[in-house]
Amino acid sequence: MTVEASHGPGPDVFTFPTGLPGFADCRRFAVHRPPDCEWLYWLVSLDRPDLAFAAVLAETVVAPYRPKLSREDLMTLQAGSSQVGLMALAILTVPAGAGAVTANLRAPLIINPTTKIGRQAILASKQYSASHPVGAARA
Amino acid sequence: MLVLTRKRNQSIVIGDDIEVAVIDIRGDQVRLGVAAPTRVSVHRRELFSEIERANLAAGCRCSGLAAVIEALSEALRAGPIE
Repeated sequence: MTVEASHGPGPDVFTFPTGLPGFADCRRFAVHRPPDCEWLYWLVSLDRPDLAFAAVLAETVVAPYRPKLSREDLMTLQAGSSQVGLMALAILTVPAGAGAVTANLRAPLIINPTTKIGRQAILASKQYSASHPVGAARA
Repeated sequence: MLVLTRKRNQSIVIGDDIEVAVIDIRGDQVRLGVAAPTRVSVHRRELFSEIERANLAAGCRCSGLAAVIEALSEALRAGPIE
């Protein structure tokens, strides 16, 4: 479930047709890849001023990462019946004070590089946590 | 909100192809059965709320990219991300 993201001059813009839970009005995100932090995906909302999310490929947090997407997810992404070619990003939460950085593996951002459509899937299985500690694996 | 009273083994129909049935009632717990097309996702409200809260906690200011990178680099120094 990995595909090379575009490294073109400008950021790719992905449309999330239903927004994100808690941000239903945020449907378009520009996906930046900071050159000095290559594993980071920086999603900037084009619908709400000054809102961004930090994310990483979910497989960099836990591998293998095999989310079971619903039919509704696949239909929204216009991905046919296959997950091939889709990318799964995990939103990171950076606590303001002390505390672990966590990754949301329960509700990954699934993006389709072909159609430029995204959707935050909410996985039915409890296999993955919505606040998976990051960086603790080898700490 | 539409409020309906149903007994065990009774159901309601939503639209053309969604049916919600009362399977069992025990004390303050109600078991529901949902028959819906696979294109319709069904979640417990608590899970959806948890994801909402997680998203609200994860939102950053656009100007905060440098700070985020710094915080992440620090936190992830020993972590699996390279």
